[in-house]
Amino acid sequence: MARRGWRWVGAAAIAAGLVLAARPASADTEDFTKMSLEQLMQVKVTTATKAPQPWFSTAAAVFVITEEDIRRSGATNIPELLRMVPGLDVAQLNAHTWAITARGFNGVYANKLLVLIDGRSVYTPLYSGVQWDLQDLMLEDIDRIEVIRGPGGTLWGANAFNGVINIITKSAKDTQGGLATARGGNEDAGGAARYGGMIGSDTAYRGFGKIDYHAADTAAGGGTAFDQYVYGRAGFRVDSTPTPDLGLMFEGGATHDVEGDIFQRLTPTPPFPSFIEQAETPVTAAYLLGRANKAVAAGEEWQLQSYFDWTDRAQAILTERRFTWDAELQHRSTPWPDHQLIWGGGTRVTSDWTQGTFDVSLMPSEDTEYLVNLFAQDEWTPLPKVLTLTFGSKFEYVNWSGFDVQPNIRAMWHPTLDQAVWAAVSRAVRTPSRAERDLDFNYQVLNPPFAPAPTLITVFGNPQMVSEKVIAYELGYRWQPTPKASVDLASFYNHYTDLATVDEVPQAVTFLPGGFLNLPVQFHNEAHGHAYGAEFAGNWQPAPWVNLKSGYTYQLTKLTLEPGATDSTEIAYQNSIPKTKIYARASFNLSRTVALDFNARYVGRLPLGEANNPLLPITDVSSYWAFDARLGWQATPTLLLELIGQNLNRAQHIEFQSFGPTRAATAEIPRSVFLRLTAKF
Amino acid sequence: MKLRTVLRSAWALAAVLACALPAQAQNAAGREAAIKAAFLYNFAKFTEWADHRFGGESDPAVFCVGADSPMRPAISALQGQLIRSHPIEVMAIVPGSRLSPCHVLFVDDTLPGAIRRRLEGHEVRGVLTVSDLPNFARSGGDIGLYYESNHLRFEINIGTAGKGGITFSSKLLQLAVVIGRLSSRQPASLFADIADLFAG
Repeated sequence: MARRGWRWVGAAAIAAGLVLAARPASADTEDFTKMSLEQLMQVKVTTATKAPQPWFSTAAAVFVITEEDIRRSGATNIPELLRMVPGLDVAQLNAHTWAITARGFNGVYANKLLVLIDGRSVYTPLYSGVQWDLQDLMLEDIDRIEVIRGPGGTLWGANAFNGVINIITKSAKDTQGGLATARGGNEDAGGAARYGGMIGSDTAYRGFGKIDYHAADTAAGGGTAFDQYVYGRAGFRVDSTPTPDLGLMFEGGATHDVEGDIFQRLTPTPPFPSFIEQAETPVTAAYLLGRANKAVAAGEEWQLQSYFDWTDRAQAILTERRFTWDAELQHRSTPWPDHQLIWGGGTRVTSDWTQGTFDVSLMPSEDTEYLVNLFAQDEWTPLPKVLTLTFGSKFEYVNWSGFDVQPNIRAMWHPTLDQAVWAAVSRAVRTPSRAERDLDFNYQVLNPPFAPAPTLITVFGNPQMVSEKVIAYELGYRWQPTPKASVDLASFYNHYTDLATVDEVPQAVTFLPGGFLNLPVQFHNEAHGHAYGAEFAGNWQPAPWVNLKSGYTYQLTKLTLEPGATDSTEIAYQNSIPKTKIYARASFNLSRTVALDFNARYVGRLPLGEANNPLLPITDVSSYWAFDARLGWQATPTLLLELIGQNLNRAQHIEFQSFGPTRAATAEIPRSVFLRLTAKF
Repeated sequence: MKLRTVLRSAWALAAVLACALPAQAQNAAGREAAIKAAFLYNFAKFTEWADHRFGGESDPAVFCVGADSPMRPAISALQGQLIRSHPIEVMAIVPGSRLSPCHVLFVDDTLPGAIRRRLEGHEVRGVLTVSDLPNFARSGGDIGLYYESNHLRFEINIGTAGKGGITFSSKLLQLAVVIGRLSSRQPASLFADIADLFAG
């Protein structure tokens, strides 16, 4: 007992020591009024003390990936960066294919997460998901990534169902001069260059080019995963303030990718023998976006934004060309004291042209979808710095699915300046995707004993599909006792209705030549369910040269089919996220020029095998730990050398198994080590 | 280590954190407020008001701040410092306060709504308005403080300030990001600047 007592004292002493070490030199004695303006401008202020910070006072589960996080993570692409966010599930299928979701329903075609890059929606209406291989930027040009878990339908509209990821790039004013970076290692290699300059005194520009190469990995069952890729990108951004109250932004980009895929295909004539095809998919995409901000009075601003987006993906089984135009108008003001009102409206038109095969086609092959929406949200602060209430709604009409209302009400309470308690109730919808409406997919042949006779299974879309709905109840707590430490807890309970299912339609069985049966499987809205969970993020700087970050996620989804439904994917979706997930990072500034970072993450088991259905040949994915490390040396003020290792603890591991309409090859994610050079000029 | 020991250590750590850290947060916020107040003092030193704003040589220079503003303690600490020959007097603004005695007004969201509306309507003339609200100078205020890589910087809107008979010395303008164009009233300030150059 006595020994235990001593340990207790020892622990307290160590803790006190750490805290004291973290205290800055006392500032009480400084008299700033004796300083000149020039001196004052040299005084360092930590912006973290700007209490309360925007994220701190947001009544939603927000996680911000900062410039510093990006630099210290050693990541080479956006999905890798997202691994640090609690509540977000990131699984890599192969070199270019990712399954990313928030709070449940993961998959290659995960469809409940909205992703925006500088206000441009990058999710595809084809399957309501994100083509992560195309979403690539120079990470050095990203200002921050704001991840909001939970519905964001009121501000961002349909499909901000379980989360929104906002990727915000730096103003061209902040990327002046040249930067070149090159990396090479056992798995991949790449290089990028950017240059920024000024046109006159109020217009800044930058342009960049980037190229990446990845070698093919080993497939899960041995052999090649044929997932090699070459990416080429170029883009620009111009920021201008022609008058003090007018801000203009214009950006654009073009992409050409060639990536390897493995397809399991069917021969179009009975007995429909299946064959494996390895094919390279060329993807070309381009976009242009313009935005104007006009301040009309203190706190009152108009914003107009519009973009064009074009993608062309020529997969061996389906070619899709899509053109999208979007425009939005927003107004922010303070109509009454203590009220911040934001309202606006927008429209989007998206047209596609597809060319199918016996395996996959869309009927009709061409389609245009449009939507119009209006929203208003008021932020009312009845007690300044103590209580803020937010309420608003979006009203959206989509030509396919009709009219949807997406309201939310949120409360933020600061019991003390350094604490925040928030609660929210919100509703969001996900509109049916083009595939869910119009798919015609010859999936596979089932033979006895799984079927009474050889049966070709065909998945059909359903024009009667309605939007999936969620009502989310959220509660969160934040504490930032010092600029050097913070704790963020968020919890949620989601109630889902009208979830999409794929159900057999046995009454519509037809006979094909050669004694074959054709069993249609069709999309319906035949499931409901709930999910709950909690997410934790912690931040602590015990000493000026040490930074510790951690995250923990616990989550569960329970889905129930409506009576009579025969869907087999719901169990897979239910089990598509790990129950627990852990992330930890320790960053050390060893000297003024040498930095060392360690990342560790744990992802729990995915019991996908429980689906136990001959139509879904998937097995469990084991839990795993993965460790990354980065050693950075700022050799000269303009030259940075980095040695980065990813997934260091295992030669290879599997993170996910594909299920759903098509099957992307599952690759063993290998250990990777590379050297990166970054030079400024 | 046994689980109980771990728990005890955690509690000990939590207790120490709870005692030591809020005080520190207070210090950091207070320090930043003091720095901003020092900026305010310096802005006043390099600003000229129209002659009628001061009755006599030792009339006070009135610094106004919202009664509930977190900046109020730091600005109150300036009381008695001299702006040329004028001692600083700090006035707390409550709903119904008149702004006409103010020479400097610190604007933040704790100011009563009616007063903020008067500012937005440009009904307040001859008062130097300073704020750390985003885009303050760009949206009609006089001087906006902002952060740039952990340092405070300021923007001056010379268009609006000129209208109230307020002129800035060239020294201030050299250090600021100047926005707005010289209005027809600005020659007065140009002359003041030239005089300033010769003087200093």
